[in-house]
Amino acid sequence: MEAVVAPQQRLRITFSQQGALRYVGHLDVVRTWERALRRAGVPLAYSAGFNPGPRLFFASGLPLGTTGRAEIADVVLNQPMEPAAFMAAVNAQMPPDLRLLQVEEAPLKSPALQAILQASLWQADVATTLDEATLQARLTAFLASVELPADKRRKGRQVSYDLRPLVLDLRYLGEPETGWQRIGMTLRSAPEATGRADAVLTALGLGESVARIERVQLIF
Amino acid sequence: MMNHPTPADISGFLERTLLRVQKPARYTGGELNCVVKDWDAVQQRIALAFPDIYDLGMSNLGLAILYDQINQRPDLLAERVYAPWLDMEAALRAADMPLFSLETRHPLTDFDVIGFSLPYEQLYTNVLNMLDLAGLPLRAAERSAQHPLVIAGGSACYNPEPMHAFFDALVIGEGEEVIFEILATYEAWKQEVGTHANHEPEIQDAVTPFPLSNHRLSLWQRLARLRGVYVPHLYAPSYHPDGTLAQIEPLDEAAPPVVTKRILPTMPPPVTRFIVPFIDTVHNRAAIEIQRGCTRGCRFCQAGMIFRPVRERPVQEVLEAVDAIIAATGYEEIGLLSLSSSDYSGVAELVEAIMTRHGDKKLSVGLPSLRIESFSVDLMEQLARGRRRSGFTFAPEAATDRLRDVINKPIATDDLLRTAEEVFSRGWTSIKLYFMIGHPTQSLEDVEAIADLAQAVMKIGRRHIGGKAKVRVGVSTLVPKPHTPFQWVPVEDVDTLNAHIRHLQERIRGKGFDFSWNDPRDTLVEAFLTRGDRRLAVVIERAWQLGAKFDAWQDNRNFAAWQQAFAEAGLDPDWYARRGRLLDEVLPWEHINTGVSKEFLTLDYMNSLKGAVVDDCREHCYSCGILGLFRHDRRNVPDDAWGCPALGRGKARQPVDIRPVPLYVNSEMAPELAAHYGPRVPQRSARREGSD
Repeated sequence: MEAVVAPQQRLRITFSQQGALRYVGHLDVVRTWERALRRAGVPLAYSAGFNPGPRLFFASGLPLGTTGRAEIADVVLNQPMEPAAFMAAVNAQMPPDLRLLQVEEAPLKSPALQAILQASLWQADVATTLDEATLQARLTAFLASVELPADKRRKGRQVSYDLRPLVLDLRYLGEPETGWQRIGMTLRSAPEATGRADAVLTALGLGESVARIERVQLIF
Repeated sequence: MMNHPTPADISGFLERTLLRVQKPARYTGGELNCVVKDWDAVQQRIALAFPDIYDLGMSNLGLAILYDQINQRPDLLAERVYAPWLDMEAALRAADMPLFSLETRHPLTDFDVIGFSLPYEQLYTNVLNMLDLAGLPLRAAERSAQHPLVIAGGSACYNPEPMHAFFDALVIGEGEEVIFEILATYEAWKQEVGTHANHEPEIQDAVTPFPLSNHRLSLWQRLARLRGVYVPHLYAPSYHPDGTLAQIEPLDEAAPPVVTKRILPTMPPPVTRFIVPFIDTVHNRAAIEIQRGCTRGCRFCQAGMIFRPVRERPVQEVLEAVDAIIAATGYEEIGLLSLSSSDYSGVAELVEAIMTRHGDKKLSVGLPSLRIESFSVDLMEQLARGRRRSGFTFAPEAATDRLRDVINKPIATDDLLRTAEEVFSRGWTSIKLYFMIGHPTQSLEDVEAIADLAQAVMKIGRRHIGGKAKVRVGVSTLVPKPHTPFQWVPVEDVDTLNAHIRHLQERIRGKGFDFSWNDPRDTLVEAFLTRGDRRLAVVIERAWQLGAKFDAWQDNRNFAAWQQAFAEAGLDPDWYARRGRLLDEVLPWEHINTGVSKEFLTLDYMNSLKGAVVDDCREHCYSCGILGLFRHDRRNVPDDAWGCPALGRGKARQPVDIRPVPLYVNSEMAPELAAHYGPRVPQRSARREGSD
């Protein structure tokens, strides 16, 4: 077996994930990345073991149906590379709906992004005829509640959980387009407790009128 | 059906629908390397259709080749369309939306030509479903001049009769050249005749049974003049009182009495800009054909007969394609495709060169269809290089030496066990063995031997790696295919097959064993469709109306629909599937010429009944008919480019027999005859060393 070369550089990538990618599940997005990195010919470091994979780590996968404006991932390279050169090389190989926005060097021994992620900011646009006052009232009522039982599917089973502690803040953000209302959310995104924007909308009675859900920021 | 939605209408529909269906990325397009051309800037638009879902269709190499070649032409565009899964079909129907292409989201009816790939028969009902979802009349004769030309190609077209009613034309053989002839013919016809709905045909023929207003007759006549193109509406069958065929006759002077397949004398350039799907597909990898055709002559194998002659792609061309594919796709896996990888003459050189160039890039290389010999283990060991060695797959197809002689896949059980020994001793943990049941002359002993062999292989595994050893056994049922030496043989009856499977289930169980099998009823559907005649068109259409679709999907099988459709048509599925055919019977595919002559198939069928094994035909040409038919092509390619002997004076070449003279005859099957031949010897490799 060949020796595993010691990794030499960690790059932290901020990227956007839009358009057709919202219909692609996270595992498939990961593979799309791996293939783009391979095409770009950047000196990827691989994990050791029988099935070596590139050392590419995402802070948090986007749920199906959502887009991301400033997602974060780390990649480890075997040889150091100028962040700007890395960004140009990889962007040239990405499908149009995945764009690297910023690449910077990070300490090689950084903790896993996934482990230190705390919260995330979301914007949800809903197509509804409800007015601002009604929506504000619903948001206030939600935040005033102590407990909010919700259901999720886990391994094919319905599981009940409390949604309330996963929601840190809700805000009415106005009317981005005629007939659409925008709601801002701050949700917990810790490994053991992750709030889902669609679950919040369902709890607000807006589950049927969702038009667009976007994650705008990850908070570490 | 909605009158005529625009691509924008279809995009709006998708926006509303995609999050409500499974795997929405099946329907979005936009993958890396997909070709989106300006719709109005080209002269002709071709939809390439695969009649199953995206996940399967994306792995079809035939369509990938045509997509690549058509899109290289500036005046043409090709786009993809797959069968929508049940949830998307329901959404399309509920919204009155037609089936659309992935690249530009145009309804299928906007295309000039719709070309279906038909690699196997269980896709037939899906073709009807897709035509219906497109808003097209199912039957070619009911489509008007402004409807698209609907054609098909692929292995299943070698018996075009069951689906004859639904296509304007079917391509027999390799499509890479003839597709452009079809497109040019269609374009010329459109220019001359026009496609307006009020056009009246200029040709009327008293003999043809079409409505006189049929707009497509003159198009069909032009297409029928192309070599390798079968235009079913220009032929009519007649039947004997007992239901067997009397003959299939051309109705028009444009239609040749026999349609001969097309081949390319050398393999087409390999596809390198594969579309890279976002989602996981069945074979999520790029593929390079290293060789077309096979010289081994297994008697059950249709591919081995219809894809003759053997043509090899030069090693250098494969290596260049691997480099180009990695650069263009980033794929982590490449499949090197052929019917028998071990027989590719440059295989060792190729594997070594690929691993030298790409071993450190974590490329995994698939090399399917390896022969059961230690050389295969060497090759796989080189390809594995530090990776986990999980599975090794072999297909002995039958479990006794005798039965393997009958099917002309003469591997000795001893050699198989020796190879298993190599596999387990070199670090692999599992062996998968494929068998078929229902071979002619099969006895209970042969079925029992499958279990014995599995146990023997397990014993070897246990000896080397203890409890980690796994033996997986896959059993399918022989479906005697058209154009093979077994084409006359009946399918075994369901009760017997089920009894065999139950028995094997009981014997191949316990720690480390895995046993899987095909439902014999699925076999029956494949069997009557592949062996059927024109009368099955009604049955297929009716079964589809009754809900049959996705017949290749176990969860989706609708056998009741097929039974009812047969009953309503007054036909019997067993008459098609389970009736042994007499050697002088006119077969429904008799007017389709694969180049392998009926005489050769007959003699080889007789050989099977004596357990007479014929050698790999690279060692010894048996005059199957290919070389005579394609002698002009043979002369135009280098001597070593084909498996067939080189032609011309002074060429070094293998001996040629007019009749297939066996290598040896099985002593159990025909003892008195066997005495006249030598002892049991392996095909090809060992023979090369012997005195010949």
